[in-house]
Amino acid sequence: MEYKYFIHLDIIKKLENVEPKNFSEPWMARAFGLVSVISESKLFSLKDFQHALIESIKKREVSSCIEDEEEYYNCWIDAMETLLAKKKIIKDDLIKKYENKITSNSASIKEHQHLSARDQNGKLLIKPLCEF
Amino acid sequence: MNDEIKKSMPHDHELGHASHGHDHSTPHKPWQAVRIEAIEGLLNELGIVDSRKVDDVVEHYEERVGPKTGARVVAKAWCDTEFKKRLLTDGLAACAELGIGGPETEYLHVVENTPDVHNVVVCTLCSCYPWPILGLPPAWYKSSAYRSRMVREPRTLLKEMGLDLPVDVKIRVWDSVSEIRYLVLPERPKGTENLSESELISIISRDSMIGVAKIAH
Repeated sequence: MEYKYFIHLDIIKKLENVEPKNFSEPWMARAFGLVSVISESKLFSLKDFQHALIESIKKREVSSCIEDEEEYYNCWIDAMETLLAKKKIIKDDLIKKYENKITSNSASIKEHQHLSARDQNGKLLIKPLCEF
Repeated sequence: MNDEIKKSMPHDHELGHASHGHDHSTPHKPWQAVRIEAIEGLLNELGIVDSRKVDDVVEHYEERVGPKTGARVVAKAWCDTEFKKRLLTDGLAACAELGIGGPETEYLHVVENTPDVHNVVVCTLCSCYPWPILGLPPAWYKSSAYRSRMVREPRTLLKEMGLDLPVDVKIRVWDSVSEIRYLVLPERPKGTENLSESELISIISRDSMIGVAKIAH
């Protein structure tokens, strides 16, 4: 892929002067990428998103300043959800149901990994899973 | 990496493929990660968003701070035998010497490729990956096809991915989990003896540090 995504740099720099290549958390990168792809699908335009993001930041700044990336990207999520709801694509209760599914599955994986990563004495097991 | 192989490894995470390198330990996962995963999963199921495209966007940005970080570690190990020893003993501590580290990796075990042994990393259950070292994992790494076939028929899969290993080379498959992440230390290619550390960094690929490719020079 070529550097068409640089268009997003303009939006971000204009709004927050943030270097988007430095995501401090993976979910921020994912949120960023998701918005990029949704806008490509024409579900909403980057301009729509920019307006929604500005509104979200405004709402946030009524009560407090945005002081770090997390707060900034919370607005990013809020803007995305607002647009998806406005377009009647995803209802809030559907998101909640999906989140519950993720939570339940993750807890199960975590427990399994904790057990499989250790030997009988509870020490971390460092050995290849298999050899061929 | 063969594009056809990538395509044959669909984004079939059982929850709609929206887990991306972060720890799946939801109790410690921020609510934003779960929310984004849910939104992406739903949009994926609706056919509105292709997660591979999201991967592309993320990779575009993460490449600058992702695999190049791991490449710094590898190049340093190639040029500094004492550092290499420390890296193989305690991956995280050695990386910390270079100012590299971060969340999501509790224990980093570095495995060294030799002419006789080739190492490859997979996460059989989800997509555990040393993202502070390598960035976010590629889409194919999270696919059911890669996760299942790499433990059943690694030689065949590696060949399909463009890495044809001689039959006398032993393949070790390492299962990355939330508590142990692995990094492959690739063999230094012949003919690179005169390259500087920074020149070496430029030839070290992400795939070689996962173990699905050799370094071309």
